[in-house]
Amino acid sequence: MHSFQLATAAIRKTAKNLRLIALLWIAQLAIAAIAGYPVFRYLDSALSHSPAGDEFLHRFSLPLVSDLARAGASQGIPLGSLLTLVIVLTLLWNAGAAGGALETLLSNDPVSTLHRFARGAGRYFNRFLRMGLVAAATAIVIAAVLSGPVFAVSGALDDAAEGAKQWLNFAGVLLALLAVLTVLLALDLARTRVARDDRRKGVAVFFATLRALLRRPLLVLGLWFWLAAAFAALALLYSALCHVLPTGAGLALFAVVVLQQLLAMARAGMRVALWSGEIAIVDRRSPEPPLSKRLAAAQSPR
Amino acid sequence: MPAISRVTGVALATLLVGSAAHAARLPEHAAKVVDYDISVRLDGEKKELSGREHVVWRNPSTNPQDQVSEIWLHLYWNAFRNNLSTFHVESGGRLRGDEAEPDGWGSMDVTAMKLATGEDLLPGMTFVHPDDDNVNDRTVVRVPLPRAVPPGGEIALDIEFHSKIPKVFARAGYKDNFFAITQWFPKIGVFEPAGMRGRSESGWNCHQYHANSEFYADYGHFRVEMTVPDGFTVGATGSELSRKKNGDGTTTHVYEQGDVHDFGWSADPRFIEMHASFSATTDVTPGEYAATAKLLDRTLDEVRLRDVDIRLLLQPGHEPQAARYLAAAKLALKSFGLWYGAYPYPTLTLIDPAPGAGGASGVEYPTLIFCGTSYLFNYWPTAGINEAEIVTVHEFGHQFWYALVGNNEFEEAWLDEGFNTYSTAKAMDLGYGKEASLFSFLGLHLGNVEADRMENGNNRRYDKIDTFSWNFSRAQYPFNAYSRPALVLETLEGMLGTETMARVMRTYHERWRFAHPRGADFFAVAEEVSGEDLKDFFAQTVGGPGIFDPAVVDLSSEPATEPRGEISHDGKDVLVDEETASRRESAATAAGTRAFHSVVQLRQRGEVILPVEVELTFAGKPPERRVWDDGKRWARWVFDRPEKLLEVRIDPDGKFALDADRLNSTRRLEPDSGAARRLTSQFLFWLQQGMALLGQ
Repeated sequence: MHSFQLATAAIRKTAKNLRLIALLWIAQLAIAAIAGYPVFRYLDSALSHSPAGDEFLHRFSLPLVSDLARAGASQGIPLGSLLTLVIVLTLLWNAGAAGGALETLLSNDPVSTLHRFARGAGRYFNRFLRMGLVAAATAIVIAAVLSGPVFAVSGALDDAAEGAKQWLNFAGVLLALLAVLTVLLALDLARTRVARDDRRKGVAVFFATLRALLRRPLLVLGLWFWLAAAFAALALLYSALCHVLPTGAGLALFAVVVLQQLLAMARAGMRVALWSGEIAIVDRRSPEPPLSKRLAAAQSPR
Repeated sequence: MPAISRVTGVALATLLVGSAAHAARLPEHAAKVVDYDISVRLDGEKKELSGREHVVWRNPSTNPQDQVSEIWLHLYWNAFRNNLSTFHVESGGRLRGDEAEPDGWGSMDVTAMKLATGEDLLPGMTFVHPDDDNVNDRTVVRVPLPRAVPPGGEIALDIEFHSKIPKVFARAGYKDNFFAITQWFPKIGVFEPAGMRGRSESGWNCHQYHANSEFYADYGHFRVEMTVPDGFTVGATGSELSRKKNGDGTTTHVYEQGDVHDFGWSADPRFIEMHASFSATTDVTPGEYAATAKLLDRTLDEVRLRDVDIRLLLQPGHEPQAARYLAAAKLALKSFGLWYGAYPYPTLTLIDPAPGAGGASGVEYPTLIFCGTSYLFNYWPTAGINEAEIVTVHEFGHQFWYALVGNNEFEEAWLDEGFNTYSTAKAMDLGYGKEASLFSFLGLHLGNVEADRMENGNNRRYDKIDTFSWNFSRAQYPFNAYSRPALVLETLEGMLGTETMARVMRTYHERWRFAHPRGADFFAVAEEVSGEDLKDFFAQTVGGPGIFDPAVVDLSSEPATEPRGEISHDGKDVLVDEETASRRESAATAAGTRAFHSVVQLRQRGEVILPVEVELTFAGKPPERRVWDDGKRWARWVFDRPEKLLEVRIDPDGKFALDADRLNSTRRLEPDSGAARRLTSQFLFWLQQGMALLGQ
């Protein structure tokens, strides 16, 4: 199957899982709100009585942001701590969400989406978290191994080769990003195998999957590429719509917020599509084990 | 076209009437105090200079008592001799984002010094340290003379020197085969007679080389022969008189320029040479001349510019930005020339320093400026960062605020850096739009004035502008030399109006071109031209460290209450009980005659107190303005009027660029969360995108 066909099939399948998308989106919004609400409280206290702040209704003003930041610093808004908390929660949530989403996509129980999601999140959380930590370390190592020599060559070049240095640095960053992406896709595929087959040794599955992926990366990377391209097209559409929408508060602001959250939902949709496509790839490359093995795995102590 | 014809007609008439005033207002030449005739040889392999200079110095004093018996000279490159020099102690080897390389030392040794009459002066030469008593600093020498130089008299010196070129760090040095040869020759200080720049006693003004200061010198004529290896392209102050191959693998370039107080040059075999011309006829329209003449109250002849040859020495790889450099140079030549007076020199040379030679970027010398850009800015999305443009415009601006108006940067850096930051912002806004004159990057925009404003805040209340360059507290020099003075001038413009401010600046430049003013001289011109008493303004904003931050701290507007209790009425005390008062209030409300009791509280959160306009908006009425000028730190205004007070704005026209916090300068009665919601929605949206990235 071609990666483009795989991506379109995954998107079609995703369209049947709107509840899962909504669940992912709401959870993400809720975590974001942990930082968003205190920020709103502060902004409201600083701007609601200040007509000068209305400039934000029409454009993003760096100087006014600077005024706000200085006032915020003096009022002790712990923005850094809030963002750190959001990042940590997001990383934990990602481990749970992966289990929940895969269980939802893989199982055919007559129970609700929320039920299946919660079941999968709970069942796989520990395994997926361990796999995530190992994958993060692996990504750093591979990115360093791949891009390190490029940066070293760039650093060794004479300053006079300014263009070559810049292009090498750019290539180094691209290589590092590609390495991280590849490892994360391998993590996804491994988690899919673990969830489908209820495998215990997630870390071993991850490394086996990573090796397999490095041997045949095109289909998975192609799937990711088409989904990313689809999201980029939506993001461009969002950007264009934001430019034509009137500025100000009220309905105009409501419309912008709706657009923003639609795009955030679309992002969640693309994530589900990626999982769907990855399930198809796993099913094709490593067919399900016999029922007896699965039953044995299901009955083993957890 | 008819409009232009009318303008031209008026202009011609003005030209005939006003031409006589031109010479008086804008001097053609500087008084010659010092002339240099220098021969120097660059050893490209050893990174050394060997030079001889013949210097003629004239005692500028007219006071018979000023018999000058010693000469003071700068030996700038000894700042790089070791890490004990005042420069290194102050900078810690780091300056303007650049860092001195461990083995990048430089030095300057005077190997011979004689009077033209033959007396050897070298034995008497001693290092002096007028600023900090640092005995390890060798950047200034004092040379006793066998005979005093009388006022108006002159002395001729023959000096030989040998220099080791530092690796480029602070303004001067080399990077591979790129050479920024600046502040490179033994240079005579400024002898200031009593009365000059407020001096009580005559004497030499010759400061050590400090990290935060560069220039102060007298005007004169320079003729310099530079011998460099064949294949090097040379750019230098002034015009090239001749170029001769010596047959020994070297070429001698001879440059000359009068009416300047410094001479810099650069050499690099990789330079790509480009030329452009600024035409006073085609690059400036008749309408622009006429509008400028009208704005400044000058004749067309007085605002007429001159043709200039622009030479750009560019680094390979930066070709896509050549047009940007040249357009910025033309914009600057036109803007500064129209506003302050024609650029008087026939040439302007732009040097694009080699990659890795960032220490030489953004430096100014007469008719020669070191610009700077990056290969990255050739391409989207960074092409919208106006690095090449702003450095070019700013460094060109120093031709006016440093080269032509020769203030003492050691002592009053704000007179060139601050004036130039103000002028640069105006030129950049004109050429590249006020909103994005600094950069436009991924949907974010920033103008120059707003960028200056962003640096202003509560942490800026510890140093004052009027401070010697080396006496600022940590990290306060750039703000107090560049941004804060620019904000002071922007604020002054807001107070005086654009036209008056333009005339103030023009008059100041005309009066002090080829001279050495101090801040007080600018204050005097500003008061004279504007007719305003500005002493308090300058005392607070230049002479004091305080910030300006007027705020509306409270606003209330409630229905007025009826009197209660024993109230005097027709000579008798009448008891008004609660029920009666309430009934009266209800009746007034029902009849629509009940007034509002409104209270506004204003506060000066900063130390600087300036008279400001305050705009009050009552319901159903056009905004009213009043001036808060009682000089007090707070005010409480009470209004009993039929209309509710809805909104209060301090400085409604945004005239006070010095305001450290614009958000607290306005207040409305009823809260409106629109802006907070929009900003929060953006924050949440981008946070969500970032969170999504964490999971791919």
